Amino acid sequence: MAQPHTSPARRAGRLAASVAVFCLAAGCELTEVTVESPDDVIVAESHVVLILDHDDDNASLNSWTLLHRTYQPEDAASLSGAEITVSGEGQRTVRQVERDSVELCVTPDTTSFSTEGAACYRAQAPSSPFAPGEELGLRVRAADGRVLTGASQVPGAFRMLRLTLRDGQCRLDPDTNYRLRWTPSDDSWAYIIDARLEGLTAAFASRGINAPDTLYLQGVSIGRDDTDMIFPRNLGLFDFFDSTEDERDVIRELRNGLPEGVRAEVSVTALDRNWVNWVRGGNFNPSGQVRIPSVFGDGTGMFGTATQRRLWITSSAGGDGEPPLCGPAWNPDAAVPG
Amino acid sequence: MFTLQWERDRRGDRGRCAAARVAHGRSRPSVGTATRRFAASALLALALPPAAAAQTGSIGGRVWSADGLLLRAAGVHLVAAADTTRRRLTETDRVGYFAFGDVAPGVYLLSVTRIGYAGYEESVEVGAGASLELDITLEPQAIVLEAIEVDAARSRARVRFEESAGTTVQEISRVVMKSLPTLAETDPIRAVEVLPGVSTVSDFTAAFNVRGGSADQNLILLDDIPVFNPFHLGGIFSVFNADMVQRAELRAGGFPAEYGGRVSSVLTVETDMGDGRTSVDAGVSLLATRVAVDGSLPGGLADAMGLGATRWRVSGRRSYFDFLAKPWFKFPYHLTDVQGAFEAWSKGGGRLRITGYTGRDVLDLEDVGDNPLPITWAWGNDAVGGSWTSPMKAGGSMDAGASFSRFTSDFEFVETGSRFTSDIEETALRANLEQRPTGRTRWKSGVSVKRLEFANLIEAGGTVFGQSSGSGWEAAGYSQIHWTPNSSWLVEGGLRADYWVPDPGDGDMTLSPRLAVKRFLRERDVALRLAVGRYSQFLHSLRDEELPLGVDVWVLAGTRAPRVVSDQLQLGVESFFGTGDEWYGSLEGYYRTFDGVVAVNAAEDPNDALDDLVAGDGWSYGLDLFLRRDRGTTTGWITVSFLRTERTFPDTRSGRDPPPGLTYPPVFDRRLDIDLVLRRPLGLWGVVAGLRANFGSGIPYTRPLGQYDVYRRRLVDNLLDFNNGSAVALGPRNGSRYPARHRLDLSFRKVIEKDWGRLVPYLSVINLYNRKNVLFYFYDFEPDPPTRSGVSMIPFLPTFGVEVSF
Repeated sequence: MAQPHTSPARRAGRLAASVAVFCLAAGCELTEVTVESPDDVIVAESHVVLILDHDDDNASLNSWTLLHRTYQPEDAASLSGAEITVSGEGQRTVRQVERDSVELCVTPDTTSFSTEGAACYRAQAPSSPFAPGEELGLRVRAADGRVLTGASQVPGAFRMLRLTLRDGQCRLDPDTNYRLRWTPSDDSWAYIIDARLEGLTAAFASRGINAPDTLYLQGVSIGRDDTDMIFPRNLGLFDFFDSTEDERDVIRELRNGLPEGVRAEVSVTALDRNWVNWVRGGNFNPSGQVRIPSVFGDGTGMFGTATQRRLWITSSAGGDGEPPLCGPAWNPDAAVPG
Repeated sequence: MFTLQWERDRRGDRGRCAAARVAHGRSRPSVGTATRRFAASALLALALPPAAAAQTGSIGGRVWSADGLLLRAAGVHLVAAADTTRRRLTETDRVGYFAFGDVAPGVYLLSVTRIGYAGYEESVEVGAGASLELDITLEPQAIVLEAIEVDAARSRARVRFEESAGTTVQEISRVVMKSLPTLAETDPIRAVEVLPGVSTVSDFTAAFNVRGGSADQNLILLDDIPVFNPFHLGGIFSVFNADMVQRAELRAGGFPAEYGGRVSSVLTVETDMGDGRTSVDAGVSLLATRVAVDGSLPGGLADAMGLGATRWRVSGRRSYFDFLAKPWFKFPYHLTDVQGAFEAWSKGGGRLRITGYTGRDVLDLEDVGDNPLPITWAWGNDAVGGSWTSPMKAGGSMDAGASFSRFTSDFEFVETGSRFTSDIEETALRANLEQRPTGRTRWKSGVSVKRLEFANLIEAGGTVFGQSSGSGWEAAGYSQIHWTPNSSWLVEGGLRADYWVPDPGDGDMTLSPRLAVKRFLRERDVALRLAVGRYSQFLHSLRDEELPLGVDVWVLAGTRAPRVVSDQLQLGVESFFGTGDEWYGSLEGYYRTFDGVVAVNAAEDPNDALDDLVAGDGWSYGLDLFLRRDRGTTTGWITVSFLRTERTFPDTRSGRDPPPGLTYPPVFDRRLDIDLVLRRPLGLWGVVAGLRANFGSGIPYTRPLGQYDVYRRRLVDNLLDFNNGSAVALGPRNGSRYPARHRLDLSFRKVIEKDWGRLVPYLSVINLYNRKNVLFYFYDFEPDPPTRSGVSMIPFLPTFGVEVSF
C-alpha cells in the first residue's frame, strides 16, 4: 500500500507548529508544589426564609444553618454540638436543632460533599415568630468555643399581581410564557425565581430531546423594583453553563413556553443584602469565588434572610378539574407585552 | 553624515562652512508687536538688567523644505566661532520656527539637521542688541539611514535638556522601537515599558503604570487625539502601527499646564507623515500583515485648493490567521485597523493636519466546534482629529483643532442573550496661542471644550445586572510661561483651570498650578531640576486590577465618582557627559498623592444607582535612575526604578456596613524594576541585534488561606445544592507577592538594500531562557497536602517577520 507523500517543507511546518503549540501549552503551566495546610475557618451558611401564605400575609418559618469549614485533613473535628440561635425583636428567639445528617441541609443528589465534619441545624415553625421587615440576629457557638455572629433585616412582605390562583395553583396554555409580577418587597436587594420542573422526559420526548424528568432552574431579578419575570423564558440563566447538553436543549426550548404536561413548583423569593452579597461575590481570584460575608467573629459565612411566596404552575389546555389560567400569555409582539 | 561634520566643526575645523552669510546689527530686525511688548514687559523688566539686555542679541527663523513645508523638529545648533565650547541647541517648533535668545555678540556657526534632508550650515554674526531672522531651506536627501534617525533623537534629547525645566520626558524613535524585541508586532506602547518609572503587571497586557499611577491615569494621544483603550488582542499589544509612527514621547511627570485630563503621564504618539514622495512600507509578522503608503497631492490639485506642499500617509493592518485556517476550521479572532494622516501647508505657512484611525477586534466563538461558550466580542476605537496652525510674527503661532475619539466594546453570550457593552467617547475643540515676547521668554495659553459620554450595561436573561451612563462638559484654560533669566536658570510656570460639569452631578472648578525650575551647572552639561504641580482628571477606568487580562470600562466623575486630584513633587539631576554627549544620565525622586481614585463597590446596593463605585486615595514615591549611551557601536540604556505606592479604599469585601477603610499596595506596586536595552551591529552579515533584559520585583496578590465548598440555595425546596466549585478564604489584601520577574529578549534585524527598495527580515526571541514568570497562582486545598500550581506569562517564544520598503 502506497504511503502518502509528505514533503519535507510540510513535515517541517508540522514540526514547527507542534513545537509552537507545545511551547504555548506546556510553557505557560507552572510546576505544582505543595503548600502549608489551610487555615481552619468555620463557614456558617445560615438562612431564615419566611414563606408567606397564599391567602394572607401569615408566614411560616424555615430556618437552618450548614456549618462547614475550609478543606481540612480527614481527621478534622466535627462541627456537631454547636448552639445556634436566631433572635428577633422583643427577645423572641428560635434555636436551631442539630439534625442527624447534613443531607437534611443539602440536596440528596449532591454529587460531592467534601467538607469534613459538616453539620446541619434546622428550625421550622408553621407560624413564624418573626415578621417581614424585622431585624434578626444570629449567634453560633461552636463546640470548641468559637463564636460567630451576624445580623440581617428580613425583606418586606410582597404580593403576586394579576395572578389567578386556586389553592396556590394555576395553569398556562402549552408552549406559552407568562409574565410573573409582584409588588416590591421593602429592603429587598434581589428576587430569585426558583422552579422545579417535573414531567420533562415525556414532554420533550416527541421533540427528540432526552430530557431528565426533573430539572431545577433559577431566574433572577435585581433590585427592589425589578418585580417581574417571564416564566419560564427567563429561567436557567445561571444553570446553562453547568448543564448537560440535553439540559441545555431543554432550557433553549423553554424560551418558547412550558410544554404540555409539565408541572412547575415555583418560588418567588425576596432576598436581603447578605444573601445577595454572598451569592454575588467580590473581585476575581483564580483559586475560587470571593464571597462577601455577613457572619463575623471566629469564622466567616452568611446570615441571609428572605421572604417567599410559592405557587404551582401546570401546562395544560384546560378542562374539568384543571386550575385556572394564571393570566394572559406573554406576547412579545404586543404593544405592551402580556 | 552631517553629525560627524558638525563634530569636526566643534573642534574648530570651520573650513566646511557653507555660504557665509554675515548679518550685522538690525539688518533684518524682527518686528516687535504690541502683544510682544505687553507680555514681555513685566517679567523681562524684572529678569534682566537693561544694560545686560542691550548687550546681547537673538537669532530666530524658520526652516523650510525645498518643496515648501515648514519643518518641525529640525535640530538647530549654534556654535560660537571664538569658543567652540559655547554651543547652543534647539529645535524647530510645530511651525518650523526656532529661536536663540540672549546671544552674545559675535560670529557663530549655525547648522540645521533634519531626518530626510541634507544638513545645512551657515556662518552668522550677531551684533549687540540685534535680532537676526533667517529663512533656511533644506534639500531632501533620498536615503534615510537609521543612524541619522538615532542622531536626530539624540539631538532632541539634548534640546529637551536645554529647554525643558520640569518635564520628565523620554522619546522612543521608530528605529529604537523596531530594534526592541517584540511580540509579533513592533509596538510603541510596549516600547514605553522600558523607560524609567514605567512598569507593567503582566506580559499579556500592554497597559502600563507610571510612577505609582494606575493605567487609566495615562493620557495617550495620537496626534493630539486621545485614544481610549488603545489595545488589540485583549491588551496584548497596542493599536498603533509602528509604520505610521514617527516617534513616541512619554512625559512621566512634571508636564506643563497645557496637558490636562490625566494625572500620571502623557504618551504622545506622533504620526510619520512621510516626505511627500510616493513610497510604500509593508510587513508581515506572525500575527498580521500591514501596508503603509504615502505621497502628496498632485501639484495642480494642491494649487487649486490654495495649498503649497501636501503630504499624506495611509496604513492598513489585518491579522490573517482566520483566512489561512478557513479551509480547515474557523479561527475565531481577527483584527483590522486603518490609519491615515494628511498634512498641507498654505502658501502663507499655515499647516492643516488631519489624522484618522479606526480599528476593530472581533472574537467570534459561535459555531466553533463543540464550544460550550458561544460568545462574540467586538471592540475597537474610532478617532479623528484635525488642526490648523498659523504662524505669527516673531516665532509665534496660533492653532485651532477639533477631535473625536470613541471606544466601544460589545460582549455577548449568544445562548443566553447576555450582553456586556461599554462605550466612551470624547469630542473636543481647542485653541492655543504661542508667542515669544522676548528672546528669553515663551508664553503659551489655550482653551478647550470637551464633551465626554459613557454608557455601560450588563444584561442577562431579561435582567439588567448593572447599568451606568453619564456625560460631562469640560471647559479648560491654561497659561504657561517659559522663562530663561540667564544661561544658568530655566523657569516654567503655569496655571490650568478645569471646569467640569457632569450629568448627573454639579459643576466643579479645579485649579492646577505648576512650577518647574532648572539650574544648569558645569557649562550646562549638568542640571538640577525641581517640579511641583497639581493634576486632575475626570474619568476613571473600572478595570478589576486582580484580573490580569481585560479591557477598561470607563466612567466619568460626577455623582457616582469624584474627580482625581494628584499633587506631585519631583526633584532630580541630569547630565550629558562623555565625548560628544555620548552619555546621558538622570536621577529623579518623586512623591505623588492621588485623591479621588475609585474602585468597584463589590457590595453595591442594587437599589442605589449611584453606589457602584467607592472613592479612595493613595500615594506613591520613588526614585528613577536612567543611564543612556547614544554614541558608539553599542547604544542603549539601563533604567532602575524604585517605587512604593499604596491605596486606601473602603473595604467593601469585608461585608461590614459601613465598610472600614483598608490600605494596601495595588497590583502595580512593583518595588524595583530594572530594564537594560542594547542595540548593536553584530558585524556579521550586517545584522543589528537588540536586547532587552528586565528584572522586576514581585507584585502583590491576595493569597488564599483556605477553600470551602460553594452551595447554591435551592429555594423551592430549601436545600443547599453543591455547586461543584470552591470559594476562598483570603489573607490580607495584596499581602503576598509573586516571585520576581525576569526575562531576556533578543532581536535580530538585517537591512538588505535592493535596487527597488529595502528588505528587512527580523527575528525576535521572547523570554530566551524560558523563565516561568508567574501570571497567577491556583491554590488547591482539597488534596492533602494542598498544592499550588499556576499559569506563567509568555514562555520562550520566537517570532519572525519581514518588512519591505520601496
